[in-house]
Amino acid sequence: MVAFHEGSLSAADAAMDRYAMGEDAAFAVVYDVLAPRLYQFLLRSTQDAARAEDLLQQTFLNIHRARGRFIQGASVASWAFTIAGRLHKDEVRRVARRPETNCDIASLDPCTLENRPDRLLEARLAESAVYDTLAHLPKSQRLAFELVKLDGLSLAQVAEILGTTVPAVKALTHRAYCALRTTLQDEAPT
Amino acid sequence: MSLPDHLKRQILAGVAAEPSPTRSAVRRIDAVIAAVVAVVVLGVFLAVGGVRDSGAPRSLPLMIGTFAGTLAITIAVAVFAVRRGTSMLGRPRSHLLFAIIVAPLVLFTWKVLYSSLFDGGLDFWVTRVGHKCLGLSMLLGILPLLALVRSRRGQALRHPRGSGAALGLLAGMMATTLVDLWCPVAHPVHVAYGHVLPILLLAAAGAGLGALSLGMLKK
Repeated sequence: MVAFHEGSLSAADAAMDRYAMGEDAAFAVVYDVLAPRLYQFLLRSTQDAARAEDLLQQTFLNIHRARGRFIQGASVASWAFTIAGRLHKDEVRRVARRPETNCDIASLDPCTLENRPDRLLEARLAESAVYDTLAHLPKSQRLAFELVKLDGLSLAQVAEILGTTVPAVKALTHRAYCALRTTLQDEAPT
Repeated sequence: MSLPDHLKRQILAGVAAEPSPTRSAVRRIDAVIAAVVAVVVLGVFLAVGGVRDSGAPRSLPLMIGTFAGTLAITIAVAVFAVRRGTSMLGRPRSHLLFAIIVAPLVLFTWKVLYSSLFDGGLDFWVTRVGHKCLGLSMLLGILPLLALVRSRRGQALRHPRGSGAALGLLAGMMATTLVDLWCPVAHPVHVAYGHVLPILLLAAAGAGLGALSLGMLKK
């Protein structure tokens, strides 16, 4: 997990502001700062690289389409994560209405599966326990934890995304952290 | 979990292929639309009679007082529930709900209470049930609502429906502010039907329009 540096975030905000004013080259700066974190966020949400890539493209296209409306001084990261979250939510709804039945067997890589070492498997199990715990947390706690701890957004940005206050985000993150700590202690070998 | 290399090229190419207006272009378009809407709304208002104090049984202080109160509520709604501030995500749900519930109540209370201070201020007019005020308010409010929703497309990701309702509330309040200069009646039933109901109807229309267009921008 690599946290956002305040500098890179303000650079993204400044670049987005320049892009809103018509400096086309500034979009690449916005992309460079936000894309890795957004991709990680989407990959975690979708568990599917192709879908994550598709949603990432849609997120940046949405930012591009609304660039003239970008408010000077606003946080482009909060905006981008909210767009990505909405796009994922819409996609989940669409898929729920029309479930996919075909499975692309050619896309499976048997070599990767065979070569997976035991330690990686154990790590995967621990990771799976973490994600299981996260999945069972109330949505607000899970989102607050993921955005702060995994995506490295600031408390203020997460408060903006969740439509709540900074102390509330702190409380949500803390509760999620306590639940995870309990789970990991239970999972740890005795 | 590294980012695929081809993705940046693909996204930048996609962006280059789809032109989008810059901030100055958006402001120019918004200003033109706002000017056209203002001219049309004021034109309609003047065509139906404009400010009416002569001949009507209401004094100038009564008219100015109710107008000033309505204008103050309208400005409060604009600042509290519609102003964008420095967030790209729209106003918090609590602000939207508070404004939508409280503003019509405050308007009703202000208009009735202030009018009750004047002789005959709350008289019931048999010929003025409120149909004309209702119709005129809707007529004066619908264009501003459409213009406001258009100017906020794709900018209320968190609560598009609530944000649309707040825009409808503002459009309704602006219309009622003008209608207040036109209508001398302050009987509670008339105020509720002719002045408050259109605000609620425009807020409901705004909620519907908001759900359609204030969320994610579609191509």
